[in-house]
Amino acid sequence: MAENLEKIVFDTLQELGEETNNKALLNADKDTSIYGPGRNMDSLTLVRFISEVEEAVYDNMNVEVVIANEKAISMKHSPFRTVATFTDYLKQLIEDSQ
Amino acid sequence: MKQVMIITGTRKGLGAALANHYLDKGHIVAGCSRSEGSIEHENYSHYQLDVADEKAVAQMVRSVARKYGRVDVLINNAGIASMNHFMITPASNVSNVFNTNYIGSFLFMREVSKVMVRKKYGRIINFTTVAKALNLEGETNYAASKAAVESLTKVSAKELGEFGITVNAVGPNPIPTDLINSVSKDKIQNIIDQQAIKREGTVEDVIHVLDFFMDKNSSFISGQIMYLGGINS
Repeated sequence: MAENLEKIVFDTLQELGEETNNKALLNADKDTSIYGPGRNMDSLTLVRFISEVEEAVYDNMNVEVVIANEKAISMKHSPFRTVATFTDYLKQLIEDSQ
Repeated sequence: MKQVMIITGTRKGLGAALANHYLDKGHIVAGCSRSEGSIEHENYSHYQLDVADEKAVAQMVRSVARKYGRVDVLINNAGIASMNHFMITPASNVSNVFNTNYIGSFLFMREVSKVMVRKKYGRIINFTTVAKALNLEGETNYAASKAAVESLTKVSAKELGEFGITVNAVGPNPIPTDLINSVSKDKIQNIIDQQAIKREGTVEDVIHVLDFFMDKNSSFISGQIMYLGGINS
């Protein structure tokens, strides 16, 4: 599942990077900042990113997830800091929903 | 052009009338209600759910988006009214009214927006009420829940503007439907007396406003609240 999730996240970053001509997203690795310090997305791109990942998770894994839930908002360290923290959070979310 | 529409609360009353109208016009309509659907049409699909059920709403919207590839229009019609003096209104009643009127509208907007963003196009229309504009006594919770819907409309219009999505609200005056069955004739007349145009509303009056907000040429109209009957807030 972890590899599948990573692919979903990186594919989505790639698509958004192409659409917004954002080199950081196009060349993203696990340490790339999403919405943490030195963030590479504005709030509207983050919204797009979340909704695209939710859709891709359903399409690829047949699992319904709501990423921006109460847990994500109230976490001491935002799961949207980096690609790695986001992928870990997503993995946990899917495990919790099953 | 054929539009893909989601209309909430389509089992009876105004919602059923709206769904039938837009189906007759050749559009595709997905509707929902707590109980089984009442509309049989090749372009209609019904989802049985509570509009305040986060997961069920997300599933419905994704199902519609997957089936048709897009959602062009959302009409947040589902709503419940509640009349009572606020001093004898139980908290459970407040929760019920807000769950359906505000949270239901919010959830459908949130999920539908995710689909509309991809096409950079969408028309969202919420329902408010003249009870809010007129501060009608005995309708504290209903009016307050619709005040929340109005704020939702105005703020989300700003957040969705750059995605080509407009968000507006229509505020009908009394229309003879189930929603106002329990309201006395005196109260209805009291509302009509405060209108600029003194008559009950009709489904056609509402449709006229919806058609205006839905129009592709209405791309520069968002965050607006339009009351019927010549009422201002």
